[in-house]
Amino acid sequence: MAVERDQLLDMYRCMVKIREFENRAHDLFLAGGLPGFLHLYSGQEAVAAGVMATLRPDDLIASTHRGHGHVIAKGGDVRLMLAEILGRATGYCKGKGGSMHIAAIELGILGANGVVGASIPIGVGAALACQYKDGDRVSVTFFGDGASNRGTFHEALNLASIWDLPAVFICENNLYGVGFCQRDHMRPCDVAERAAGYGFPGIVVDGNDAEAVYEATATAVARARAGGGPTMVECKTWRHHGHFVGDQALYRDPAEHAEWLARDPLLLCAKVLASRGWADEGALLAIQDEIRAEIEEAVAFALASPQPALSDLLTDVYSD
Amino acid sequence: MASIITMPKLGLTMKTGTVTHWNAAVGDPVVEGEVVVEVMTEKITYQLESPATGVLLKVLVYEDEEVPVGTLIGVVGQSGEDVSTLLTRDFAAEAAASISGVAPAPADAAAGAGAPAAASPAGQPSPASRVAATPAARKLAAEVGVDITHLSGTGPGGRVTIEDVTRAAEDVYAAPARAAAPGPSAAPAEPERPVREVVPYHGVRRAIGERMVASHGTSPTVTHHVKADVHPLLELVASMNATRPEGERVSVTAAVVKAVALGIEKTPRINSSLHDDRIMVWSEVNVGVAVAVPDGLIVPVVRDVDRLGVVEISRRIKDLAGRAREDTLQPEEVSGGTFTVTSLSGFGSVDWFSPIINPPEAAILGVGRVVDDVVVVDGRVEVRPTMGLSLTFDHRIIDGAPAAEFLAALLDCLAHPERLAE
Amino acid sequence: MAVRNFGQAIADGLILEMERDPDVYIVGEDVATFPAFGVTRACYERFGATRVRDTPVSETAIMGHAVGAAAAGLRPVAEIMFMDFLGIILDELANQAAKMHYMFGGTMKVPLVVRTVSGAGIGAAAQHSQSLEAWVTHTPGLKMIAPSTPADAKGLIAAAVRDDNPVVFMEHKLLYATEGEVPDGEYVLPIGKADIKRAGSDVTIVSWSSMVQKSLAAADLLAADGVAAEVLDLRTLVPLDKDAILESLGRTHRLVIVHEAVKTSGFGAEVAAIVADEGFDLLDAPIKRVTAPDTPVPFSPVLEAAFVPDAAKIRAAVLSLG
Repeated sequence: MAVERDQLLDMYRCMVKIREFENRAHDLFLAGGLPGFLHLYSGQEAVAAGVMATLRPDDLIASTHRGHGHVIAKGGDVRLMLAEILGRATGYCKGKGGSMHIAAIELGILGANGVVGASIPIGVGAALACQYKDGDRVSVTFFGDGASNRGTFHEALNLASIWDLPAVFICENNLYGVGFCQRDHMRPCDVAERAAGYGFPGIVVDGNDAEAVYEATATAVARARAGGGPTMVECKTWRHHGHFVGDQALYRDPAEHAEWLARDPLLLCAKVLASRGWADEGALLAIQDEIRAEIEEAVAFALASPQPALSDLLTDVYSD
Repeated sequence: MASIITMPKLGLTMKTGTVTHWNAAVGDPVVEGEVVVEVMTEKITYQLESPATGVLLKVLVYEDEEVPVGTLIGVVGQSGEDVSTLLTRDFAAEAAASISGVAPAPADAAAGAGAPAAASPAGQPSPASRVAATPAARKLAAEVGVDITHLSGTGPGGRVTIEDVTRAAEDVYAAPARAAAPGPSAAPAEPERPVREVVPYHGVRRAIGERMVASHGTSPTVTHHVKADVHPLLELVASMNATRPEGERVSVTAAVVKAVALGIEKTPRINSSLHDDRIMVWSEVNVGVAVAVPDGLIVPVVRDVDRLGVVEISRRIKDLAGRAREDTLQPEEVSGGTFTVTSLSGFGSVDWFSPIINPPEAAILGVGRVVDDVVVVDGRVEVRPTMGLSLTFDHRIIDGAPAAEFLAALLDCLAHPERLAE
Repeated sequence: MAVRNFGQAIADGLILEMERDPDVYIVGEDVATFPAFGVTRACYERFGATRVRDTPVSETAIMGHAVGAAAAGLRPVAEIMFMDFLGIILDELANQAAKMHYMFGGTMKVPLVVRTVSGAGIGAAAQHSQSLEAWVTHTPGLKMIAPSTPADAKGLIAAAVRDDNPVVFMEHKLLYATEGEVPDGEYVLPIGKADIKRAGSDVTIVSWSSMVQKSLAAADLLAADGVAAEVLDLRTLVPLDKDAILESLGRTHRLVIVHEAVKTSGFGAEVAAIVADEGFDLLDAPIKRVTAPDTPVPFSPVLEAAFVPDAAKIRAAVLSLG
């Protein structure tokens, strides 16, 4: 499943959008304009871009606390996302969810999730819905290395396996569960090995290589659509920031951090595009300028958006 | 200071209780904690202890009488103690009032807001805050203007309940005297109409009222009116009194009472009561004689008048009436009547009226004035003293004919009074 | 009308809902082949393994996948075999299902039912006998249903399935064998409406689930005492029919709340607090609660019998009001 020029350019564009979005969110946070926690996706863009490039709009995803990249890559409107993380009434969730709880069911996004590992059974349930409804939709569940130690992970993988669900599990292994290094928090060095324990394939790919992510995921998605059951794709990657904005990640080795920064997924992708003659530096800069303008427009929209009405406090507790 | 005994509330839904037995009679010494009276609910018999050591001064509810919870049934105090103040106070409302502890409110303060606060030292919480009362009772009390600090509750731990307030509230409305009491807080109910006097509707007044309502609402009554030539009767009485000292004179009423006894002898059905599905025609002829007391009426009973002579009847009526006015009648002296005579003759105005039966009796005789009138005697027109007599009878028990028959016998006695003196 | 037992009535309701809506499915441990209380066996026989799905012993996955399935358009009826296992599924229930509609700004619906078995009385001891409705009622976003009769169970399970919110449906294990007249065919009761199971004028006994039956027995005893007790079956704790409670109290002025759950922070405390707040002036006596003591459920039949409120205790509480 080789990646073609337009596909890779789209992935690149997606990664830039995520990066610019996160940079801007970071700025807003540091400027004090953004309430709550902010878990930046910067550094992991190749995973979201590569996975989502394999999906159809009617496929479903279950996201995590570090979910901005997933939403953008699945087609999220950055204006509504920024409004949401600024807590404005125009946001995806009317300002009631915030950064960790952006959902857009119309885009197949079942929601980011504030509880590590909680999205995994939710993604499996969505996979059951896909299977039950007699279509060939798939459900993709994102989680990190940290979540793979949750009971939810194990119970959900088992259920997906015994029911042969069209589920794809994307482990974004950024090597740290908050501040706990993966080589200390679990014994196998690959999370993907755990898939074998539930009787389905686990693949390890370079999570900073969008093409590699795409190819591995495409195989997994095809298998799921065909009724072949679940697959896990473990994407080794790195977050550029701490667990959340404010965490300086002093628990990580600066040398290792530098190595990963040198393998920034955007740089890697730009190199590939250049080496294959698919895009020159000017074209890539043009993409960046275009995205920046879009993000700035979104920031302006969000900042100009009204705060929720106080009466909204009491609405939406129950569905009528 | 005297202590009161009230009908206790012994269950969630208990509304009334019956006095089944007094262990002590009025005047008997009693000891605090000693069982003085036994009361009965639908389910249980309960022994009430004397609240104090002293003498049983008053019995207000007699054996077999059923009264609402909270009703005052007796008073214990010191021999000779004047409890008239207590008794003239509003029984119904203060039935539950504690004599000890919180001082009972003077009648004119109970509805006013001023008294309790004034009694509290400055800066102290008002008594209201210390009274245990349910929220619903507090709310009702505020709505109807009852001061709960003067109620002693019948709920667990003495908590004032809705029922306590309801009882007190009935009294507030029944006793507008409080509203007329001097003081800025005592606003008359209808300020635009000057009130000359407000008479409390309580105590004996209220008891009379309730008895009258009960009687009137229960008995379908008919009243026969007759005119009696009492010339022979007055002559007889005058002759009997000619030789008697002032204090021993025979009254016309006594003669009428004796005539009633003779009439009953001829028409026994007049002397009866209706009890559920049975009409009890009594052997004894116990005639109650209504006695006016200040703002009220008491009916002491002369027992066995059929076996007494007019002189003795007269003596007894006089004794009972005197003691009725002194309020020293014994319970048995105001109960057990089988017929009542009530007289307005002393006022010289009324000839006939329609008295209300004193339940559970079946009939009552109203005696009007004695006035000279033209009568035909043996075919000649004469001016004679006549007396209006009105017999009200319960038509459930007595039909018109026997009532007329009784009156005929009565008139015959009055026309031939020598039989009365036998 | 037909006489059905409580478990049959629930199965009847579920089968009708599954016939009506193909997105309704049943899922849980042994729901198909070997149901712990037998309720869903008839559903399995009627609809087979696709719609009546056995799971491994994985309460977290049962609940968690149900959340995702509901969000993605299905209507799961998940069985948690014992209410005591609520602790295992609490994140999925309370942090995910309950909150998704709100935190996603009303854009997502999570229509699911958690059927779960509560209550003491069969010697199941501390970890299989609890009544944990207050865990549920303390979480906005969840509805809490606790029926006491077969008819109510049928009408309310249908309502629960049709509701677009996560609903916990509590089934007391001692009720399964109880029988009663149940309307035939489609029968749906409104969620959030209490029911006067016995009218009376002297005291309102508020209860739910199996304690309604105990309260009715107490009302019989109280009638002999001359006390006319009204038994108000809340049926639904969330949403709560406050009006029914206050209306009844407006007539009786006395309130006794009966629940099998332990006392402290039980739902009875919530009812009492509401009445103290909104019905203060209606009260003519203190509010009494008749509940289990603040202990785990004991195993010994003697101790268990002492743990569970009974008619005598309810009667005593009523009579203590004076």
